[in-house]
Amino acid sequence: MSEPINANPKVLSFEDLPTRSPASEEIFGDSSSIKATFPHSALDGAFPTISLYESYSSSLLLGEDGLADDDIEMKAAPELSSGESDVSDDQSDIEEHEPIDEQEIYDLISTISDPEHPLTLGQLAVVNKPDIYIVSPKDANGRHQKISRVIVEITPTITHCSLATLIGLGIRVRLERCLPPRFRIEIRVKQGTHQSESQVNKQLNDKERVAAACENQQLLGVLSGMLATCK
Amino acid sequence: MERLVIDKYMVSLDTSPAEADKIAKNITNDIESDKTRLIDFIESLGRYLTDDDTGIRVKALSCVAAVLSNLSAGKLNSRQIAMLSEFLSDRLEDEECLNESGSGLLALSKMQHISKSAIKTITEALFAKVDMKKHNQATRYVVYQIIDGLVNHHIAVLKGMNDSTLNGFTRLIAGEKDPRNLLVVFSILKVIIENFQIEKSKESLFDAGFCYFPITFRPPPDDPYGVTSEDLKLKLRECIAASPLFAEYSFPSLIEKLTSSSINVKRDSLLTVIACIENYGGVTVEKHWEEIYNSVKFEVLHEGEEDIPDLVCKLLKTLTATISIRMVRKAAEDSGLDKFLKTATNECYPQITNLESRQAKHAAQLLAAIAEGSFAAHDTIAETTLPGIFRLVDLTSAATIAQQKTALEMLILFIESSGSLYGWKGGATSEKSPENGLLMHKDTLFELFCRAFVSTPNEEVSFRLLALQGLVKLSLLQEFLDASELGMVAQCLDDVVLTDTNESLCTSALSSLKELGRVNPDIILNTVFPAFLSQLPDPDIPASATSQSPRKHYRIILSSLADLCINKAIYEILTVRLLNKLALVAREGQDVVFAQSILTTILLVIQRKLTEKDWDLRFFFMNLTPKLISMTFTASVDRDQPQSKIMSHSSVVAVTAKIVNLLVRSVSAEDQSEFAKQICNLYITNEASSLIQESERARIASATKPLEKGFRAEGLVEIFTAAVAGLRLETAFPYSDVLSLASNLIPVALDRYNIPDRLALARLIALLVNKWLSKDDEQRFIDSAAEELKTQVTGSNSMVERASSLELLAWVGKSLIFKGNRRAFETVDLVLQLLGDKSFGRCASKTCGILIADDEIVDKSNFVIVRLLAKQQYFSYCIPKIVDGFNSSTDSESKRNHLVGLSNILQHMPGKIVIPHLSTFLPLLLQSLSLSDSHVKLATIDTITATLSDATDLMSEHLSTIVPRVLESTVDKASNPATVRVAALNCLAVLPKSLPGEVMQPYRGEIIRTLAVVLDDPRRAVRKAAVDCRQIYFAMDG
Repeated sequence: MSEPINANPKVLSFEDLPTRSPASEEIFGDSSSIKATFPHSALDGAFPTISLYESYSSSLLLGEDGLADDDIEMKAAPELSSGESDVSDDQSDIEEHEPIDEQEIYDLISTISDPEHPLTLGQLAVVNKPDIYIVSPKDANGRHQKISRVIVEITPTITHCSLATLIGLGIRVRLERCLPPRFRIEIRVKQGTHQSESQVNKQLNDKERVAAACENQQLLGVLSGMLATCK
Repeated sequence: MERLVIDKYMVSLDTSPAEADKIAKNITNDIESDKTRLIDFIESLGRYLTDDDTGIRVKALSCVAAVLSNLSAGKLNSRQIAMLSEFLSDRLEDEECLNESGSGLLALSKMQHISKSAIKTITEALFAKVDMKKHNQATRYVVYQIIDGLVNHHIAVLKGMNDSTLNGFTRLIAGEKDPRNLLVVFSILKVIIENFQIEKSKESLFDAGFCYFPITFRPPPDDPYGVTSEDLKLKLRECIAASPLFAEYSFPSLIEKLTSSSINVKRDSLLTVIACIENYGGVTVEKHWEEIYNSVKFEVLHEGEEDIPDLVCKLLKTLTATISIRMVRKAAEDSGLDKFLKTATNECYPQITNLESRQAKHAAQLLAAIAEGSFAAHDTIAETTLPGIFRLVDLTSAATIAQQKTALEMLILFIESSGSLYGWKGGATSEKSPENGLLMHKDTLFELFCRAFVSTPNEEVSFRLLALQGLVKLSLLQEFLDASELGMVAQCLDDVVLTDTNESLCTSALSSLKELGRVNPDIILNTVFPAFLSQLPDPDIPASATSQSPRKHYRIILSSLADLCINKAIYEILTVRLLNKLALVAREGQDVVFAQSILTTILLVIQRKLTEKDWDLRFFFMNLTPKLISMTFTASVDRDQPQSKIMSHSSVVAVTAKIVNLLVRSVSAEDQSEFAKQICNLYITNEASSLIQESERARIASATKPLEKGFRAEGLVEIFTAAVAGLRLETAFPYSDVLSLASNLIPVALDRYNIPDRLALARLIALLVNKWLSKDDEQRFIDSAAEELKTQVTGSNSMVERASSLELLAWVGKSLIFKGNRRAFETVDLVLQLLGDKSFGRCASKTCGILIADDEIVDKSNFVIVRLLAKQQYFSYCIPKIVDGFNSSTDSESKRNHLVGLSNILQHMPGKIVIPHLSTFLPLLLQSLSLSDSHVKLATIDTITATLSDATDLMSEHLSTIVPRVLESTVDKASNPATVRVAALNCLAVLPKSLPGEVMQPYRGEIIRTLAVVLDDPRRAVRKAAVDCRQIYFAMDG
């Protein structure tokens, strides 16, 4: 490759990148988030409040209340009062809905690597969490509508960066592959960070041009190189 | 001496070398035993030695050489050696025979009685008569070996010949290229350089070696001698570094090589310079510091490639150390060191103080390397340079975080070099170091890092990490911070662990605390423990009364405490404090989960120490076990009172049992036997047991009979089972009649309905059968007790009775399968047959799993006998029967039960057992993919994922069934919980990695299309798996 356009970019260390950290979540809530705040993975499951009863279910035929599995029909045996009941994972599992949020979008694109540095877009601060917006308009009943918009504003490392389009294209391809079709994706250069802002913006959001670019084998090769580091 | 023998030798040399060897040995033996005189041997060779035919001369000489090299070293007297040396030296002129005459001389040169004059004769002849260029590698090797032997054993004689030896040798080796020969040449060269007066010929000697620098040799792939380029480099380096007289040549030449573009040459040159500095000594090196420094500094300042900057730092450190040799604390005025330090500081200081520049850190690195070289250099640099950095941080409090970060990084570099020079705490302290020169800046440094840490906003994680690192490094410096300052550092770390929300900060703070604790355990006891323990909920103070900032969850604090148990004394104290807390919580009778967590903390440390095996747990066994058992029993006796609820709560008892189990397991059979007696008193004979605290002993003995039918005391059996499980096989079971004990427990077990008790009894019976029943008793047990259970399983009218009998039977069966008793399969047969039973099939399908499942109590770690092939035996026994049963069953319920039974077995089988049988049951497996039972589905998908890469052909065949069904499981949220959906996605993701591209290609489009739907899954973990899986298919060629 020829001389890089920006040979000395500013680099953020990994610790400073935004993560889905427990800090922003509820710490004192349910047990799953407590687990997440444990700084040592070795401790996960070490406190056997839940696992205790899971192990019983695979070792015994009869349940706590005298019934074997839920599928055996028989009369309940003499019962003993006991505090704990077996809360299965699956029930809570179906109920809980975790909507797609800005952090999730950030996690999807911040690990794309820069075309000219062995660094990720997150490290180079080309992609920043505050510059990601999810817009889902509400209908008359106040419910979120299905169709949503994702807007990502990128900050090129220098104002004349000719690779801004390529980076934008990489982000677009990544999001198109990773987000459900109900999302409309819009990639923009952040205002005042590039000399030919409107031109780049136009290029990035023109369907025909994007499609044409994705036909180009050489370009596709570079793109898949950028996406290969995605975690 | 017979001509004939000689003739025979010469003939067989061509035809059979082994035969020739034998003949030579015989001749040697004759000479050795004085049957033949040496002179006769030579004479009988006589005319051959001077024959016109070269071939004959060679053979004759080789005979001489062979005989001589076989002779013992002391056999020949000096006259004989002298005679032969003279003769062979003469023959050196005969170029055709050099190898043979050389070999003869080599043998002679090793002789014990060789005289000075003989040595001279040989050496002079070699130098005068041999023209190495005319000979092949092997012949030259012989010559070098002669010289090598002589310089190593007769250096005094050769030294007397000085100049002629030196010149002769340099002439001899000129042009040598063979690596094996060069190794010998280099080692001869080194001995010569080190021992001879080389003043006059130093240049030619230096050139003789240096002309090979840098070594670029790469050994051929089938190198017979195994010479590596590294061997050559090291030998040559020793030659170049051998004499300080070389300094005037070596330094300039090596410095010139540093400009090479090859990183290997650079590295080699730097290492050689380092070796030279180390060997030449301070006086010589002092003359050259400037040219060396000037030629290497750029590699650090401009960040050279790979390890070059590090090597240069090492070089500068060595250089400093060498020229500081006579200066203890301070560089003498105008000394080389003084000038060197001034030059380096003057050059680096302006760069260091320009925090904007990238070079600042590199300049600091360079100075720090020099500072590491000697006390004098360190103290001077600390005095001249650090104040500048301090001022900078002070003046520019407006400095950006990035600039301040650079400053901290630089200071840490200096602290590190100070540490490796003056020593770290807990490091090896061979001799007492003088007072650390950094002490003059102690207060400033300490304050600066404290401030950087305390007054920076929490979001600046990497900056605060750096500040923390600085504080910890300062604390670890030998004889540096005092106790109160160390306490402050510990407090900072405490605060992070207790309040900070950033994970990497917390982790690093906790491990720093551990590090501090290791060198200074008092810190943990006096500062950390009080701080941490005070953060735990206090039952005496209601939660609403504590109005402080939100605390972290007590589990985080507890787990951190467990982490900090770096030695036994600390753990002992923690245990005491935690047990006090537990007593408090138990008395309050409210928070079961907290009580359980406290016990889990104790358990956690025991678990860790058991795997690390670094301390003896006997102390805890002796003290903790009775205490916990006593607490549990007392609570059980008074279970109606509110303060007993906690200790007798099942989830607390479970942890208590685990602790008891681990502690019992960890001690010797000797310690166990008394304990076993006491525990049997407590449970079986219901006598007073010393495990119970004295005041309660009598009351408990009379009131609790936990193993009696109808006695209700949750949890107590669990503790007995855990204790019995931990007993070693060598520990005699204190109750002699194990057979009747086990048999009598069966009705007790059938009578209990609460889960922990039933499981504990089932395990207990399994343990007794497995560990302590003799062969005969085992048969008796099967014939009576097990048989009775079977009758109940098949004959009873009550479903509950049938199920609980089957359950116990399964545990007995498991214990026998583990032990390798074939009769266990009578039970297995019954279970497999029950799979077809309409009302009872589901129980049977679950039992298939129970029979072979791993169990934490009935396990090898508890000295249970587990035969190596137990699982495999069970698996290959069951599989054909299940497949047959499935095929012959007519109703869907029975088919389903067979499938569930199969999946329950598969869950517990390692892949290598499953794979050989895969083809027999894969069709069944595929059918269970369409069952709605999520556990079955999970097991099935996991089995497919795990066996994919080992059964690619088979899987490829069935891909048209696998892909749509697995794909379906990712989409259908109603019947597949998130765990199944994720497992299905993982399975899909593994397919392209294991199967050939052309097999997967047809499914690619459909998978990518279908997964688009999964991208909108409500669960984040599922979406993540879908994204990753889809990316794999996008990245597939095609």
